[in-house]
Amino acid sequence: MSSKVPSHKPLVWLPFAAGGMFAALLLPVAILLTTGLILPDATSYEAAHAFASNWLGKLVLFGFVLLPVWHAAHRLRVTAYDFGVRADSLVAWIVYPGAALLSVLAVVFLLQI
Amino acid sequence: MTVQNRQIEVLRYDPERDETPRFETFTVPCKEEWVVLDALTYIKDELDPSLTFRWSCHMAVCGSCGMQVDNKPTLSCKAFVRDYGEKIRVEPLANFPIERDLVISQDDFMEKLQRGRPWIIPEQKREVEDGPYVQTPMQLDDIKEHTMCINCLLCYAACPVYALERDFVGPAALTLMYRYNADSRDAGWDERREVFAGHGGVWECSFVGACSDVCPKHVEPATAIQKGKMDSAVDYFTRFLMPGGGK
Amino acid sequence: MARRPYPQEVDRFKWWIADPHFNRPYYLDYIARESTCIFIALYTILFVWGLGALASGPEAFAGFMGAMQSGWGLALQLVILAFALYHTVTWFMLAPQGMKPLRMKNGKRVPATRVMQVLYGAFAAATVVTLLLVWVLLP
Repeated sequence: MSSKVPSHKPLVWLPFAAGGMFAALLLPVAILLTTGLILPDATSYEAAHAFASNWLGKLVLFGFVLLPVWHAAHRLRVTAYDFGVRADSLVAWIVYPGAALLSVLAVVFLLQI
Repeated sequence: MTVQNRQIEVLRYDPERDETPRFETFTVPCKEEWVVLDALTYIKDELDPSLTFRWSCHMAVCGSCGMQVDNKPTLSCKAFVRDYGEKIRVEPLANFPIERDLVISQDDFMEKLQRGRPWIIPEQKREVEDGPYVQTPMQLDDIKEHTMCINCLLCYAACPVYALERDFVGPAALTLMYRYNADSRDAGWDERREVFAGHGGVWECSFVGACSDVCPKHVEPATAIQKGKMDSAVDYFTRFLMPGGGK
Repeated sequence: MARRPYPQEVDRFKWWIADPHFNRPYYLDYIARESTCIFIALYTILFVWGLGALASGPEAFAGFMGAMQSGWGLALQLVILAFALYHTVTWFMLAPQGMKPLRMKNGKRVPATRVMQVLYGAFAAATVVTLLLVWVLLP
Protein backbone atom coordinates (compact mmCIF):
# COMPACT_ATOMS: atom_id res chain seq x y z
CA MET A 1 0.00 0.00 0.00
CA SER A 2 1.40 3.33 -1.01
CA SER A 3 1.24 6.35 1.24
CA LYS A 4 2.41 8.65 -1.56
CA VAL A 5 0.53 11.89 -1.75
CA PRO A 6 -1.82 11.93 -4.72
CA SER A 7 -2.55 15.06 -6.70
CA HIS A 8 -3.21 18.23 -4.68
CA LYS A 9 -5.84 19.30 -7.21
CA PRO A 10 -8.71 18.90 -4.69
CA LEU A 11 -7.39 22.01 -2.95
CA VAL A 12 -8.17 24.11 -6.00
CA TRP A 13 -10.95 22.01 -7.47
CA LEU A 14 -13.39 22.27 -4.56
CA PRO A 15 -13.26 26.12 -4.54
CA PHE A 16 -13.60 25.95 -8.33
CA ALA A 17 -16.73 23.82 -8.10
CA ALA A 18 -18.24 25.83 -5.24
CA GLY A 19 -17.45 29.11 -7.01
CA GLY A 20 -18.90 27.79 -10.25
CA MET A 21 -22.21 26.97 -8.59
CA PHE A 22 -22.27 30.30 -6.75
CA ALA A 23 -21.51 32.22 -9.96
CA ALA A 24 -24.13 30.26 -11.89
CA LEU A 25 -26.81 31.09 -9.31
CA LEU A 26 -25.98 34.64 -8.31
CA LEU A 27 -23.59 36.41 -10.67
CA PRO A 28 -26.17 37.36 -13.32
CA VAL A 29 -28.34 39.23 -10.80
CA ALA A 30 -25.26 40.95 -9.34
CA ILE A 31 -24.22 42.16 -12.79
CA LEU A 32 -27.78 43.24 -13.51
CA LEU A 33 -27.69 45.38 -10.36
CA THR A 34 -24.32 47.00 -11.05
CA THR A 35 -25.43 47.98 -14.56
CA GLY A 36 -28.01 50.18 -12.86
CA LEU A 37 -30.64 48.97 -15.34
CA ILE A 38 -32.75 47.73 -12.45
CA LEU A 39 -33.08 49.36 -9.00
CA PRO A 40 -30.56 52.09 -9.96
CA ASP A 41 -30.64 53.53 -6.42
CA ALA A 42 -28.82 50.43 -5.18
CA THR A 43 -25.62 51.66 -6.81
CA SER A 44 -25.72 55.06 -5.15
CA TYR A 45 -22.89 55.79 -2.70
CA GLU A 46 -25.30 56.03 0.24
CA ALA A 47 -26.96 52.69 -0.41
CA ALA A 48 -23.73 50.84 -1.18
CA HIS A 49 -21.98 52.36 1.81
CA ALA A 50 -24.85 51.55 4.16
CA PHE A 51 -24.87 47.94 2.93
CA ALA A 52 -21.10 47.55 3.29
CA SER A 53 -21.08 49.14 6.73
CA ASN A 54 -22.41 46.17 8.63
CA TRP A 55 -20.72 42.82 8.99
CA LEU A 56 -23.31 40.80 7.17
CA GLY A 57 -23.11 43.13 4.18
CA LYS A 58 -19.32 42.93 4.19
CA LEU A 59 -19.54 39.14 4.26
CA VAL A 60 -21.95 39.06 1.33
CA LEU A 61 -19.80 41.41 -0.76
CA PHE A 62 -16.71 39.37 0.12
CA GLY A 63 -18.51 36.23 -1.02
CA PHE A 64 -19.17 37.84 -4.40
CA VAL A 65 -15.40 38.25 -4.81
CA LEU A 66 -14.03 35.14 -3.15
CA LEU A 67 -16.13 32.44 -4.78
CA PRO A 68 -16.20 33.62 -8.41
CA VAL A 69 -12.54 34.63 -8.39
CA TRP A 70 -11.31 31.17 -7.35
CA HIS A 71 -13.65 29.57 -9.85
CA ALA A 72 -12.34 31.79 -12.62
CA ALA A 73 -8.69 31.38 -11.59
CA HIS A 74 -8.79 27.60 -11.80
CA ARG A 75 -10.67 27.61 -15.08
CA LEU A 76 -8.23 30.16 -16.52
CA ARG A 77 -5.42 27.73 -15.73
CA VAL A 78 -7.20 24.91 -17.56
CA THR A 79 -8.12 27.21 -20.44
CA ALA A 80 -4.50 28.34 -20.84
CA TYR A 81 -3.52 24.68 -21.24
CA ASP A 82 -6.33 24.14 -23.73
CA PHE A 83 -5.06 27.04 -25.82
CA GLY A 84 -1.65 25.39 -25.99
CA VAL A 85 0.21 27.10 -23.13
CA ARG A 86 2.26 24.26 -21.69
CA ALA A 87 3.84 26.21 -18.81
CA ASP A 88 1.19 24.90 -16.42
CA SER A 89 3.16 25.60 -13.22
CA LEU A 90 3.89 29.14 -14.32
CA VAL A 91 0.22 29.72 -15.15
CA ALA A 92 -0.75 28.29 -11.75
CA TRP A 93 1.71 30.68 -10.13
CA ILE A 94 -0.02 33.58 -11.85
CA VAL A 95 -3.71 32.73 -11.50
CA TYR A 96 -3.87 31.47 -7.90
CA PRO A 97 -1.78 34.29 -6.35
CA GLY A 98 -3.82 36.65 -8.54
CA ALA A 99 -7.02 35.30 -7.02
CA ALA A 100 -5.48 35.50 -3.55
CA LEU A 101 -4.47 39.12 -4.18
CA LEU A 102 -8.00 40.08 -5.25
CA SER A 103 -9.45 38.29 -2.22
CA VAL A 104 -7.08 40.10 0.16
CA LEU A 105 -7.72 43.45 -1.53
CA ALA A 106 -11.45 42.89 -1.09
CA VAL A 107 -10.95 42.28 2.64
CA VAL A 108 -8.74 45.36 3.00
CA PHE A 109 -11.24 47.60 1.20
CA LEU A 110 -14.23 46.18 3.08
CA LEU A 111 -12.51 46.78 6.41
CA GLN A 112 -11.94 50.42 5.45
CA ILE A 113 -15.64 51.01 4.85
CA MET B 1 -33.06 -5.18 -52.37
CA THR B 2 -31.45 -1.98 -53.55
CA VAL B 3 -27.74 -1.77 -54.24
CA GLN B 4 -26.04 1.59 -54.45
CA ASN B 5 -22.44 2.46 -55.28
CA ARG B 6 -20.56 4.31 -52.57
CA GLN B 7 -17.10 5.75 -52.58
CA ILE B 8 -15.29 4.39 -49.56
CA GLU B 9 -12.24 6.52 -48.86
CA VAL B 10 -9.92 4.48 -46.65
CA LEU B 11 -6.74 5.58 -44.93
CA ARG B 12 -3.98 3.16 -45.86
CA TYR B 13 -0.65 2.70 -44.12
CA ASP B 14 1.81 -0.05 -44.82
CA PRO B 15 4.64 0.19 -42.28
CA GLU B 16 6.99 -1.63 -44.66
CA ARG B 17 6.41 0.65 -47.62
CA ASP B 18 4.73 3.93 -46.66
CA GLU B 19 6.45 6.83 -44.97
CA THR B 20 3.09 8.45 -44.20
CA PRO B 21 -0.52 7.25 -44.46
CA ARG B 22 -2.44 7.94 -47.67
CA PHE B 23 -6.06 7.73 -48.75
CA GLU B 24 -7.31 5.15 -51.23
CA THR B 25 -10.82 5.25 -52.64
CA PHE B 26 -12.82 2.15 -53.49
CA THR B 27 -16.15 1.99 -55.25
CA VAL B 28 -18.33 -0.46 -53.37
CA PRO B 29 -21.81 -1.67 -54.40
CA CYS B 30 -23.48 -1.40 -50.99
CA LYS B 31 -26.72 -3.14 -50.13
CA GLU B 32 -29.25 -1.10 -48.22
CA GLU B 33 -28.81 -2.91 -44.93
CA TRP B 34 -25.01 -2.80 -45.01
CA VAL B 35 -22.90 -1.22 -42.33
CA VAL B 36 -19.48 0.31 -43.00
CA LEU B 37 -17.86 -2.92 -41.78
CA ASP B 38 -19.67 -4.82 -44.57
CA ALA B 39 -18.28 -2.40 -47.12
CA LEU B 40 -14.76 -2.94 -45.76
CA THR B 41 -15.26 -6.71 -45.87
CA TYR B 42 -16.36 -6.37 -49.51
CA ILE B 43 -13.17 -4.44 -50.29
CA LYS B 44 -11.04 -7.10 -48.62
CA ASP B 45 -12.84 -10.01 -50.33
CA GLU B 46 -13.29 -8.53 -53.80
CA LEU B 47 -10.97 -5.58 -54.38
CA ASP B 48 -7.86 -5.59 -52.21
CA PRO B 49 -7.10 -8.49 -49.84
CA SER B 50 -4.32 -6.51 -48.21
CA LEU B 51 -6.74 -4.09 -46.51
CA THR B 52 -6.26 -4.59 -42.77
CA PHE B 53 -8.86 -3.97 -40.08
CA ARG B 54 -10.04 -5.55 -36.85
CA TRP B 55 -13.48 -7.00 -36.29
CA SER B 56 -15.06 -9.96 -34.62
CA CYS B 57 -18.72 -10.02 -33.65
CA HIS B 58 -20.44 -7.69 -36.13
CA MET B 59 -23.01 -6.84 -33.42
CA ALA B 60 -21.52 -4.13 -31.17
CA VAL B 61 -20.46 -6.50 -28.43
CA CYS B 62 -16.78 -7.25 -28.99
CA GLY B 63 -15.51 -3.68 -29.35
CA SER B 64 -12.96 -4.53 -32.06
CA CYS B 65 -14.12 -2.52 -35.07
CA GLY B 66 -13.85 1.05 -33.79
CA MET B 67 -12.83 3.53 -36.52
CA GLN B 68 -13.25 7.14 -37.49
CA VAL B 69 -16.20 7.14 -39.88
CA ASP B 70 -16.57 10.58 -41.44
CA ASN B 71 -14.32 11.88 -38.68
CA LYS B 72 -16.33 10.50 -35.77
CA PRO B 73 -15.18 7.63 -33.57
CA THR B 74 -17.70 4.89 -34.39
CA LEU B 75 -18.13 1.13 -34.28
CA SER B 76 -18.12 0.33 -37.99
CA CYS B 77 -20.58 -2.52 -37.35
CA LYS B 78 -23.11 0.03 -36.07
CA ALA B 79 -22.58 2.62 -38.82
CA PHE B 80 -25.22 2.04 -41.48
CA VAL B 81 -24.00 3.05 -44.92
CA ARG B 82 -27.44 4.49 -45.75
CA ASP B 83 -26.99 7.09 -42.99
CA TYR B 84 -23.96 8.54 -44.76
CA GLY B 85 -23.37 10.32 -48.06
CA GLU B 86 -22.12 9.13 -51.46
CA LYS B 87 -18.60 9.27 -50.11
CA ILE B 88 -17.66 7.82 -46.74
CA ARG B 89 -14.28 8.47 -45.20
CA VAL B 90 -12.92 5.69 -42.99
CA GLU B 91 -9.80 6.21 -40.86
CA PRO B 92 -8.19 4.44 -37.92
CA LEU B 93 -9.23 5.68 -34.47
CA ALA B 94 -7.74 9.07 -33.70
CA ASN B 95 -5.04 9.63 -31.08
CA PHE B 96 -3.57 6.10 -31.34
CA PRO B 97 -0.49 5.11 -33.37
CA ILE B 98 -1.48 3.42 -36.64
CA GLU B 99 -0.15 -0.13 -36.85
CA ARG B 100 -1.37 -0.83 -40.38
CA ASP B 101 -4.31 0.59 -42.38
CA LEU B 102 -7.25 0.76 -39.94
CA VAL B 103 -5.54 -1.10 -37.13
CA ILE B 104 -4.23 0.97 -34.24
CA SER B 105 -1.79 0.08 -31.48
CA GLN B 106 -3.57 -0.56 -28.18
CA ASP B 107 -0.33 -0.91 -26.18
CA ASP B 108 -0.72 2.34 -24.26
CA PHE B 109 -4.30 1.57 -23.24
CA MET B 110 -3.52 -2.01 -22.23
CA GLU B 111 -0.68 -0.85 -20.01
CA LYS B 112 -2.88 1.78 -18.32
CA LEU B 113 -5.81 -0.58 -17.96
CA GLN B 114 -3.65 -3.05 -16.04
CA ARG B 115 -2.13 -0.38 -13.83
CA GLY B 116 -5.67 0.49 -12.74
CA ARG B 117 -6.30 -2.98 -11.26
CA PRO B 118 -9.81 -3.27 -12.67
CA TRP B 119 -10.93 -6.26 -10.67
CA ILE B 120 -12.52 -6.79 -7.27
CA ILE B 121 -10.06 -6.36 -4.43
CA PRO B 122 -12.09 -7.57 -1.45
CA GLU B 123 -11.63 -6.54 2.15
CA GLN B 124 -11.57 -10.20 3.09
CA LYS B 125 -10.89 -12.84 0.48
CA ARG B 126 -13.59 -15.50 0.32
CA GLU B 127 -12.83 -19.12 -0.46
CA VAL B 128 -15.02 -21.11 -2.83
CA GLU B 129 -16.86 -22.79 0.05
CA ASP B 130 -17.68 -19.34 1.52
CA GLY B 131 -19.90 -18.66 -1.47
CA PRO B 132 -19.94 -15.65 -3.80
CA TYR B 133 -19.49 -11.99 -2.93
CA VAL B 134 -23.06 -10.77 -2.75
CA GLN B 135 -24.50 -7.44 -3.80
CA THR B 136 -28.03 -6.05 -3.73
CA PRO B 137 -29.70 -4.93 -6.97
CA MET B 138 -29.58 -1.34 -5.66
CA GLN B 139 -25.83 -1.55 -5.02
CA LEU B 140 -25.38 -2.83 -8.56
CA ASP B 141 -27.61 -0.08 -9.92
CA ASP B 142 -25.25 2.55 -8.47
CA ILE B 143 -22.54 1.47 -10.93
CA LYS B 144 -24.49 -0.46 -13.56
CA GLU B 145 -23.84 1.74 -16.60
CA HIS B 146 -20.12 1.95 -15.81
CA THR B 147 -19.82 -1.84 -15.96
CA MET B 148 -20.89 -2.11 -19.60
CA CYS B 149 -17.56 -1.11 -21.20
CA ILE B 150 -16.39 -3.21 -24.16
CA ASN B 151 -12.94 -1.54 -24.41
CA CYS B 152 -13.60 -0.31 -27.94
CA LEU B 153 -11.50 2.83 -27.29
CA LEU B 154 -13.87 5.23 -29.06
CA CYS B 155 -13.73 7.41 -25.94
CA TYR B 156 -9.95 7.78 -26.23
CA ALA B 157 -10.29 8.80 -29.85
CA ALA B 158 -12.85 11.45 -28.82
CA CYS B 159 -10.89 12.78 -25.85
CA PRO B 160 -8.82 15.93 -26.45
CA VAL B 161 -7.18 15.56 -23.04
CA TYR B 162 -5.77 12.19 -24.07
CA ALA B 163 -4.69 13.70 -27.39
CA LEU B 164 -2.79 16.50 -25.65
CA GLU B 165 -1.57 14.73 -22.51
CA ARG B 166 -0.33 11.21 -23.15
CA ASP B 167 0.07 10.44 -19.45
CA PHE B 168 -3.71 10.72 -19.02
CA VAL B 169 -5.01 7.31 -17.99
CA GLY B 170 -8.08 8.09 -20.09
CA PRO B 171 -11.86 7.64 -20.03
CA ALA B 172 -12.36 3.85 -20.24
CA ALA B 173 -9.60 2.85 -17.79
CA LEU B 174 -10.59 5.50 -15.23
CA THR B 175 -14.24 4.55 -15.56
CA LEU B 176 -13.42 0.94 -14.87
CA MET B 177 -11.36 1.99 -11.86
CA TYR B 178 -14.28 4.08 -10.60
CA ARG B 179 -16.60 1.15 -11.21
CA TYR B 180 -14.51 -1.05 -8.89
CA ASN B 181 -13.81 1.67 -6.34
CA ALA B 182 -17.56 2.25 -6.05
CA ASP B 183 -18.45 -1.43 -6.04
CA SER B 184 -19.92 -2.47 -2.68
CA ARG B 185 -17.78 -5.63 -2.68
CA ASP B 186 -14.50 -3.81 -3.28
CA ALA B 187 -11.95 -2.39 -0.85
CA GLY B 188 -9.17 -1.56 -3.31
CA TRP B 189 -9.24 2.24 -3.11
CA ASP B 190 -5.79 2.45 -1.49
CA GLU B 191 -4.21 0.29 -4.16
CA ARG B 192 -5.73 2.32 -6.96
CA ARG B 193 -5.23 5.75 -5.42
CA GLU B 194 -1.94 6.63 -7.11
CA VAL B 195 -3.16 5.85 -10.62
CA PHE B 196 -6.70 7.15 -10.05
CA ALA B 197 -5.96 10.39 -8.20
CA GLY B 198 -2.28 10.96 -8.97
CA HIS B 199 -0.56 12.34 -12.07
CA GLY B 200 -2.52 11.28 -15.16
CA GLY B 201 -5.60 10.38 -13.12
CA VAL B 202 -9.07 11.89 -12.84
CA TRP B 203 -7.74 15.40 -12.20
CA GLU B 204 -6.41 15.70 -15.76
CA CYS B 205 -10.00 15.45 -17.07
CA SER B 206 -11.56 18.81 -17.90
CA PHE B 207 -15.04 17.39 -18.56
CA VAL B 208 -15.33 17.96 -22.28
CA GLY B 209 -17.89 15.16 -22.31
CA ALA B 210 -17.20 13.84 -25.82
CA CYS B 211 -16.33 10.38 -24.41
CA SER B 212 -19.89 9.88 -23.19
CA ASP B 213 -21.22 11.09 -26.53
CA VAL B 214 -19.36 8.52 -28.66
CA CYS B 215 -19.70 5.59 -26.24
CA PRO B 216 -21.73 2.84 -27.99
CA LYS B 217 -22.66 1.24 -24.67
CA HIS B 218 -23.74 4.37 -22.74
CA VAL B 219 -21.07 3.75 -20.14
CA GLU B 220 -20.98 7.50 -19.33
CA PRO B 221 -17.24 7.79 -18.71
CA ALA B 222 -17.50 11.56 -18.17
CA THR B 223 -19.92 11.01 -15.28
CA ALA B 224 -17.78 8.27 -13.73
CA ILE B 225 -14.71 10.51 -13.80
CA GLN B 226 -16.51 13.50 -12.23
CA LYS B 227 -17.89 11.26 -9.48
CA GLY B 228 -14.36 9.94 -9.06
CA LYS B 229 -13.11 13.50 -8.58
CA MET B 230 -15.57 14.03 -5.76
CA ASP B 231 -14.58 10.74 -4.10
CA SER B 232 -10.90 11.60 -4.50
CA ALA B 233 -11.44 15.06 -3.00
CA VAL B 234 -13.17 13.53 0.02
CA ASP B 235 -10.37 10.97 0.31
CA TYR B 236 -7.74 13.70 0.01
CA PHE B 237 -9.16 15.86 2.75
CA THR B 238 -9.91 13.04 5.17
CA ARG B 239 -6.48 11.56 4.58
CA PHE B 240 -4.18 14.55 4.60
CA LEU B 241 -5.91 17.34 6.41
CA MET B 242 -7.85 15.69 9.19
CA PRO B 243 -5.69 14.71 12.15
CA GLY B 244 -5.29 10.93 12.16
CA GLY B 245 -7.60 10.63 9.16
CA GLY B 246 -5.22 8.52 7.06
CA LYS B 247 -6.60 5.11 6.18
CA MET C 1 8.38 -7.81 -39.88
CA ALA C 2 9.25 -4.98 -37.60
CA ARG C 3 6.50 -2.80 -36.22
CA ARG C 4 6.63 0.81 -37.25
CA PRO C 5 3.51 2.45 -35.77
CA TYR C 6 2.66 5.82 -37.25
CA PRO C 7 1.88 8.33 -34.47
CA GLN C 8 -1.26 10.45 -34.74
CA GLU C 9 -0.76 13.83 -33.10
CA VAL C 10 -3.03 16.86 -32.75
CA ASP C 11 -2.05 20.52 -32.95
CA ARG C 12 -2.01 21.73 -29.38
CA PHE C 13 -3.03 25.28 -30.36
CA LYS C 14 -5.75 24.48 -32.88
CA TRP C 15 -7.17 21.11 -31.77
CA TRP C 16 -10.50 22.62 -30.71
CA ILE C 17 -11.09 24.19 -34.13
CA ALA C 18 -10.95 20.75 -35.74
CA ASP C 19 -14.42 19.42 -36.28
CA PRO C 20 -14.98 15.81 -35.33
CA HIS C 21 -18.59 15.04 -36.19
CA PHE C 22 -20.05 14.40 -32.77
CA ASN C 23 -23.73 14.90 -32.08
CA ARG C 24 -22.87 18.46 -31.23
CA PRO C 25 -19.63 20.45 -31.68
CA TYR C 26 -18.14 19.29 -28.36
CA TYR C 27 -14.75 20.93 -28.65
CA LEU C 28 -16.12 24.33 -29.64
CA ASP C 29 -18.86 24.14 -27.01
CA TYR C 30 -16.25 23.23 -24.45
CA ILE C 31 -13.96 26.14 -25.34
CA ALA C 32 -16.93 28.54 -25.31
CA ARG C 33 -17.99 27.28 -21.89
CA GLU C 34 -14.47 27.50 -20.44
CA SER C 35 -13.94 30.98 -21.90
CA THR C 36 -16.71 32.36 -19.69
CA CYS C 37 -14.10 32.39 -16.90
CA ILE C 38 -12.26 35.25 -18.62
CA PHE C 39 -15.35 37.44 -18.24
CA ILE C 40 -16.08 36.27 -14.71
CA ALA C 41 -12.47 37.09 -13.75
CA LEU C 42 -12.86 40.49 -15.38
CA TYR C 43 -16.02 41.17 -13.41
CA THR C 44 -14.44 40.26 -10.09
CA ILE C 45 -11.59 42.69 -10.88
CA LEU C 46 -14.18 45.42 -11.57
CA PHE C 47 -16.02 44.43 -8.40
CA VAL C 48 -12.91 44.74 -6.21
CA TRP C 49 -12.12 48.02 -7.92
CA GLY C 50 -15.60 49.19 -6.99
CA LEU C 51 -15.05 48.16 -3.37
CA GLY C 52 -11.84 50.21 -3.41
CA ALA C 53 -13.76 53.21 -4.74
CA LEU C 54 -16.44 52.71 -2.10
CA ALA C 55 -13.74 52.73 0.59
CA SER C 56 -12.19 55.91 -0.85
CA GLY C 57 -15.33 58.01 -0.52
CA PRO C 58 -18.36 59.41 -2.35
CA GLU C 59 -16.49 61.11 -5.22
CA ALA C 60 -14.40 58.08 -6.06
CA PHE C 61 -17.45 55.81 -5.95
CA ALA C 62 -19.54 58.18 -8.06
CA GLY C 63 -16.70 58.28 -10.57
CA PHE C 64 -16.46 54.49 -10.66
CA MET C 65 -20.20 53.94 -11.01
CA GLY C 66 -20.39 56.70 -13.59
CA ALA C 67 -17.83 54.85 -15.70
CA MET C 68 -19.56 51.49 -15.13
CA GLN C 69 -22.92 52.90 -16.18
CA SER C 70 -21.67 54.99 -19.11
CA GLY C 71 -22.15 53.72 -22.65
CA TRP C 72 -18.93 51.68 -22.78
CA GLY C 73 -19.14 50.48 -19.19
CA LEU C 74 -22.70 49.36 -19.76
CA ALA C 75 -21.81 47.62 -23.00
CA LEU C 76 -18.97 45.79 -21.26
CA GLN C 77 -21.22 44.72 -18.42
CA LEU C 78 -23.87 43.47 -20.83
CA VAL C 79 -21.24 41.35 -22.58
CA ILE C 80 -20.12 40.04 -19.18
CA LEU C 81 -23.76 39.35 -18.30
CA ALA C 82 -24.23 37.35 -21.50
CA PHE C 83 -21.20 35.19 -20.69
CA ALA C 84 -22.30 34.83 -17.05
CA LEU C 85 -25.69 33.57 -18.24
CA TYR C 86 -23.93 31.21 -20.63
CA HIS C 87 -21.93 29.96 -17.67
CA THR C 88 -25.17 29.38 -15.76
CA VAL C 89 -26.73 27.41 -18.62
CA THR C 90 -23.66 25.23 -19.25
CA TRP C 91 -23.02 24.71 -15.54
CA PHE C 92 -26.55 23.47 -15.01
CA MET C 93 -26.25 21.25 -18.06
CA LEU C 94 -23.10 19.59 -16.65
CA ALA C 95 -24.20 19.37 -13.01
CA PRO C 96 -26.50 16.33 -13.30
CA GLN C 97 -23.89 14.56 -15.45
CA GLY C 98 -21.20 15.10 -12.86
CA MET C 99 -22.83 13.86 -9.71
CA LYS C 100 -24.00 10.66 -8.11
CA PRO C 101 -27.59 9.90 -8.94
CA LEU C 102 -30.14 11.09 -6.40
CA ARG C 103 -32.80 8.55 -5.58
CA MET C 104 -36.51 8.90 -5.13
CA LYS C 105 -38.39 7.14 -2.32
CA ASN C 106 -39.06 4.14 -4.52
CA GLY C 107 -35.34 3.76 -5.23
CA LYS C 108 -35.53 5.03 -8.81
CA ARG C 109 -33.00 7.62 -9.94
CA VAL C 110 -34.08 11.24 -10.13
CA PRO C 111 -33.84 12.02 -13.87
CA ALA C 112 -31.26 14.58 -15.03
CA THR C 113 -34.00 16.83 -16.40
CA ARG C 114 -35.54 17.07 -12.92
CA VAL C 115 -32.16 18.02 -11.42
CA MET C 116 -31.84 20.76 -14.04
CA GLN C 117 -35.36 21.99 -13.29
CA VAL C 118 -34.45 22.28 -9.60
CA LEU C 119 -31.27 24.19 -10.47
CA TYR C 120 -33.14 26.61 -12.71
CA GLY C 121 -35.73 27.01 -9.98
CA ALA C 122 -32.97 27.83 -7.50
CA PHE C 123 -31.52 30.31 -10.00
CA ALA C 124 -34.87 32.06 -10.40
CA ALA C 125 -35.43 32.08 -6.64
CA ALA C 126 -31.93 33.43 -5.92
CA THR C 127 -32.41 36.19 -8.48
CA VAL C 128 -35.84 37.23 -7.24
CA VAL C 129 -34.91 37.04 -3.54
CA THR C 130 -31.77 39.11 -4.15
CA LEU C 131 -33.72 41.78 -6.00
CA LEU C 132 -36.40 41.82 -3.28
CA LEU C 133 -33.81 42.10 -0.50
CA VAL C 134 -32.04 44.95 -2.26
CA TRP C 135 -35.41 46.68 -2.80
CA VAL C 136 -36.36 46.26 0.87
CA LEU C 137 -32.96 47.42 2.13
CA LEU C 138 -32.92 50.57 -0.03
CA PRO C 139 -33.19 53.67 2.15
